Amino acid sequence: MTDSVNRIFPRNLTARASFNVAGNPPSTRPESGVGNCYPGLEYDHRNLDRRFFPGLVVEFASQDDAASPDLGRRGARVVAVDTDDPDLGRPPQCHDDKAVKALRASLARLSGNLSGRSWFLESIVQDGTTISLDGSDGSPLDGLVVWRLVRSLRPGPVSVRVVERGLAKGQYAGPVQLDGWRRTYTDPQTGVIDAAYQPGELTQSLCSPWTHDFRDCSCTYWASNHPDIVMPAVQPGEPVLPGGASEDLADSVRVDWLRDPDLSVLHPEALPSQGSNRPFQISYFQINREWQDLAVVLEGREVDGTYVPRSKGSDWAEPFATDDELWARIVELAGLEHLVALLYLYARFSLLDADDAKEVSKGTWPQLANDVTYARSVLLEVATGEMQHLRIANHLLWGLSVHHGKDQFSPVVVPPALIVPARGKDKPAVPAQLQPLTPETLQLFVDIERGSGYIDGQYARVTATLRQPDYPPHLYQLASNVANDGEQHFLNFRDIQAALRNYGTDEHVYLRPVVPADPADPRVAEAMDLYLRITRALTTGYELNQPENQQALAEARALMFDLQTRGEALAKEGLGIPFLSPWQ
Amino acid sequence: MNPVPLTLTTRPEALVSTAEPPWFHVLDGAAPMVLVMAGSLLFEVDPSLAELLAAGDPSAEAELARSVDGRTDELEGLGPLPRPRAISLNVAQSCNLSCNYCYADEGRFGGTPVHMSVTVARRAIDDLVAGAHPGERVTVGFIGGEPLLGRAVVHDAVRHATDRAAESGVVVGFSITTNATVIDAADLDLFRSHPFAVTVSLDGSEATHDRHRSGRNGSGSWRRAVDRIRPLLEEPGLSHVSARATVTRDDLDIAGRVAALGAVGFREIGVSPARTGPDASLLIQPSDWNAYLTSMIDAGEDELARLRGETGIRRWRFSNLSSALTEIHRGTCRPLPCGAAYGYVSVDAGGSYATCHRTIGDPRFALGGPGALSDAARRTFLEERLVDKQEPCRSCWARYLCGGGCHAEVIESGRHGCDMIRGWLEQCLMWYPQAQSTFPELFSQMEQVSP
Repeated sequence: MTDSVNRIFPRNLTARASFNVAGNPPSTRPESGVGNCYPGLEYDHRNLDRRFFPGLVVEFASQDDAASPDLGRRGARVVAVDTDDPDLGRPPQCHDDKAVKALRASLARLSGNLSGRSWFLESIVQDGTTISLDGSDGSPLDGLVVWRLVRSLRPGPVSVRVVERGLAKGQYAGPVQLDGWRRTYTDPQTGVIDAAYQPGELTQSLCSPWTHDFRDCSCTYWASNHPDIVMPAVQPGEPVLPGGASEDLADSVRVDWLRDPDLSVLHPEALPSQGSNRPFQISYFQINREWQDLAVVLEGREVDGTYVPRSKGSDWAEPFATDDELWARIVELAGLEHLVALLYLYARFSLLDADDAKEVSKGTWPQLANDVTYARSVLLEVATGEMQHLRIANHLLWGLSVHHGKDQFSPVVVPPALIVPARGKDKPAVPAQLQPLTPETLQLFVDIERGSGYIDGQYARVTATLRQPDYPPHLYQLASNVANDGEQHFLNFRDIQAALRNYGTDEHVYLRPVVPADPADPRVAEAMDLYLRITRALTTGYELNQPENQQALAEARALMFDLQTRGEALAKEGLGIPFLSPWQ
Repeated sequence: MNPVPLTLTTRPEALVSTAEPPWFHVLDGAAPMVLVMAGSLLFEVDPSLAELLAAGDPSAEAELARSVDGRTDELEGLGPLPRPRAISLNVAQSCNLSCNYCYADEGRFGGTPVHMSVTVARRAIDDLVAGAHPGERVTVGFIGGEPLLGRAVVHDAVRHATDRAAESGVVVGFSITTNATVIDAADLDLFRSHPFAVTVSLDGSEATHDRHRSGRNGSGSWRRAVDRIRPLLEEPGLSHVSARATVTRDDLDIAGRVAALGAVGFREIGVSPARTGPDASLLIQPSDWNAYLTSMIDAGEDELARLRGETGIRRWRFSNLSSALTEIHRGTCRPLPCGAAYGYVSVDAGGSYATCHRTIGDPRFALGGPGALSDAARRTFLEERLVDKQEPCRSCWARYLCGGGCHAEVIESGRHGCDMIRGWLEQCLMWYPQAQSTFPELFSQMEQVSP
């Protein structure tokens, strides 16, 4: 499946446009989902498992909702035998040619008896354990229960026994035993979904609402191809960020995708619930006549003209000349990721929590509790994102080491950078400082994440280097994901700006009076110890191929929760954790 | 090798093999590449894969086929013919020079000198504009002979076309190919105040040029041409000025010609070989193509070195290279060599249509009398010349980049320059990846231009 990944590289424009890239289409990526009601509903997981056994296609038939359940129709019914399944052509090591031949013969026998008849899985065997698909009372388990059992199978050898139901005793064809393996659903290197799945197969059981239903589906359980709340289209000529979002903060309101253009002038911004948006949406009459006017949505934004993909900017960046330069820049970026995670975390501790906000506002600021809750949650999300970037930076270094045949790799976790790099011509580099979330600090965060900033530019060069055919393709994907996060972080911070703007620049009603504590202060010693232990655990966790890595990462994660609790307690006393002191 | 079965069609030069034409071509080198002909898709490939592809390994071929979306081996047929979007008016079928290799035979195209009347020019322009929709772009070109010997017609035609285009909401541009020796102040004004592509026939340095491009009294014409065009080079206004050199077999130093014209101040310089004309001793012969190709490659190397050394804004200068690299970058894929008879036709002094400016007066290329451009004649002409319908083109890997070669030259002197064209294209394909990554801005400008 991936043989051409490193062997063929498209050069000119037509080749780039016609090249079948190994990978899943962009629409399958979670970030391409446009729905906000049920994010994650990009596909129905049961559809993945219906082909868990190469050569067989089963349906997990449930009678749970039936008024009078027909027990004979419950279970995993064999709906097709697919002898063209590509997995049969590339068996895992546990199956030699003879075993595959035997499997094919059994499948062919079953296939000949399938039409108009009723075959179900009776039992599954893996690693010497037999899972009977009959319940303790002897009646077949419901399809959804069978599905959960199938979910518990690991990749590797699996045998299934298939029996025929629905005939009088004595007429049954004999059970068929199939010795095969559980499918590996995605390519371990590229994540590409197995080629056995046909276009549309993974989403086939999701709602596909249209016309009336699109407005009125009562379960609202539609696939994520139904946009709900979206960013409006950017008008031609309007200054935009590299990713296509408007530069203008006022244009970053979210709108209801189904809005009536005439009515929505009364309330351009989408309201928080489906019910409250309803009066401003198009009518049944309109949706039947004008459904084609509903906007196309890409990357969460309505598209009004020519779509410019996000990667365009990074495509033009200059690749690094040498591997050493690439390595050094990723190490530098890791330090910056660490630094900004600390800056954002510190700023988050400086915000009142909802309870304190209610207390402080005393009716003067009715929205304060909501606003600080929002800002705190976004700051934590972005800080977490930066921590993930630190991990990805290490993953890139690890990948490069493996690529160059080295078995040694020293993770880069500390030290954090101590300089905030330049954010444009008139904003030179400044020493890093832990600061509460004042409007100035927030502006600094916006500038750090701005598309044209230093970090973004360097990631663009990293991706431009890694997209060259000499490098493993998954490293390019990893680096691209980091580069793409930057704009989301930028928009997040702008949203915080919008939320906190009402409170003016002088009255920092939403802030705690937090200042960085003296590192010698015994009250912060515990928090500092937690922080340093986290960095040590991460360093171990990011090392190559060690079984205890996962353990170290789990430990780091647990310590992070402790640090969060400790940081909150200290902030309530006006004490900020002096994260940078060990490195200064 | 087995003999290739041939099918005879109505034209002896169109012997079509029934064997499957190749669908890809392997370009050997340190970083081997593969050109997939349909769509002109260019891939860099792993050397091991390139080796297998070159050896005809079926699994390697299958791997390549899997990587390409929607591959088709042949281009679709002609489809509906558009109305021409460009015409050239042969306003003066006479010339003040008597260049001894001129394909136009001093502008007479083998006949007696004739000048186009204002009425004929206007009528052709009216037909052109009438065939265009509002917002579309049309081009009116002036050729000869020396078109400025019909100055009054040129100036009137520009005014008329501008007015008619404005009335119809059509965008009009102009082009002229001139020896520049008779350009006057009014002409300069005309070129500067309209979107005019001015192509000056200059062969290189003064000595090179004057060797063959002499006035009727035998005097050289270079000095006079350069003096007359210089004001436009210095202050082009709306015009775009380029030089076009004809390369004769007695002097194949192409890089020298380009450098000499660059020194005059031309920002865009193209060359083409003398293929047809009255003095056979000057025309490129089959035995010259190797040397010609070497000279083209030297000129290309010079151009790339010049661009690398450029400290300010980079611009292409050698247009043979820039157009080849542009087309490779865009993946230009053409079933025909040029727009002749398709989007472009030529009008002779009497108002009759010909497939292009090089075929005026030749009944084999006639497309209808005054005001009667025949779509049937255009279609018949083009259908027979589709690159997939004739050999050796159909079996040639470069067919969709080349298009089959100039119709006029093929009929007159056959296809004896094919190896040179393939060699040049292969070299340009090899240059392309490096050029594209070294001068990306030159290619991104190209992407802005509508196809």
